[in-house]
Amino acid sequence: MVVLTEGGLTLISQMFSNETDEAVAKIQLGSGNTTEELTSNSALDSPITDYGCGIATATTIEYLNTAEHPQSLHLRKIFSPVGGEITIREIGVLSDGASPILVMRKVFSEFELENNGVVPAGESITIDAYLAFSYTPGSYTCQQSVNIGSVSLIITPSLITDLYSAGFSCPPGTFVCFNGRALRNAEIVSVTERRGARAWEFRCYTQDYSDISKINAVAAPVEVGLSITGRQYTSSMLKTGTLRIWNPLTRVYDPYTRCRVDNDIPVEPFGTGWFYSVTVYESYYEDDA
Amino acid sequence: MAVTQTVPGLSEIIQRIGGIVPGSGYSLESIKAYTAGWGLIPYIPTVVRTGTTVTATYSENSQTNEYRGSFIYFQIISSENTILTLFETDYSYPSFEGTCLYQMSIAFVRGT
Repeated sequence: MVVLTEGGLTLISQMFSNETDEAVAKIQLGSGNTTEELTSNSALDSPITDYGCGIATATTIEYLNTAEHPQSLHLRKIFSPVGGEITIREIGVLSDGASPILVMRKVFSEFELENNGVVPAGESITIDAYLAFSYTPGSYTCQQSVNIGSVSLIITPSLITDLYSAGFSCPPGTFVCFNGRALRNAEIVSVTERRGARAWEFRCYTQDYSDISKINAVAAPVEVGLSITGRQYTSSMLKTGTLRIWNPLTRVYDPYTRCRVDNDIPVEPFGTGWFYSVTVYESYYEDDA
Repeated sequence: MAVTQTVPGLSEIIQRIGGIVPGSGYSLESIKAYTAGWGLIPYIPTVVRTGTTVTATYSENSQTNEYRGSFIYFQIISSENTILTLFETDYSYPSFEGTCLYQMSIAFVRGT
């Protein structure tokens, strides 16, 4: 749910009583996940400040009056972390004053965002925020010499994100990755061909356990089945991602979209590192929107 | 007495909220009263915000007001004189004598 905060509503009304010259112009990312509250939310839970992804003025601020967005204020900002990845759970729209006022806030469930809300370094996420305006005539009364009228300006917030995943590239020196996360030193143990889709089993080795944690963060129980036409489908809490496998013949990574990583990742200590196995299932079908 | 309640300048209001500046020196002025035929009258209403409701109140003495006979409008007017009409009463010279009170409110509410 997107909420228009009490502070935001008050700020907008202050514009009409000449109490402020601030505008609604900034977007902020956060990692907190407490439920949105209309009256008590005055800041994001845990604002992200790292990797160049702190609060920023929207690069697009425009008035829209289209069928999709009638009478709306549109703010867009693209965040691209540099030098590290960020994990998004909440997004806020704020005013542009010295002490920005939180106008809009949305919290995402763990599985609502593509790639589980993780934006690796070098990738980007686009935030589109909308404030739609409409009005309803209120009442007008006139008794003797007293004229009282009112009108309501109705403000409806909405928020859309698009985590750009098509460009997830593999870290240098790796031959297999999922959404930009390395399957370190992976060898293909097996490939199962099914109609319209495949399943891969990889055996990997790493001396950095965070490699395993990163893959585990995008893994979930996967249900695999065959549709009535015999094509393989998968379903899971997590959205599909892109598996990339280096092709030595063409010398490019072959991308397999609509893939999911199974959460069963057995790990076996060996020497100074760990062997771990990863199973990836491809679906013939797109995710639901 | 009838009234129309329209917001033809909604696009400008939205642009103001987003800080989109269509011209130098643009800003949104307070709600002001306006009379047809006389232009912006010198009586600027008292504008008070209570929570998320902005109310403009204006009194007119029908006995002493030299602009009597005019229609009364309540409008939002930008500093570039763009009219963002919110209320237009078809009120003309009152049928009674004395002070007329005009009180117009904009309530900002959440959509669903």
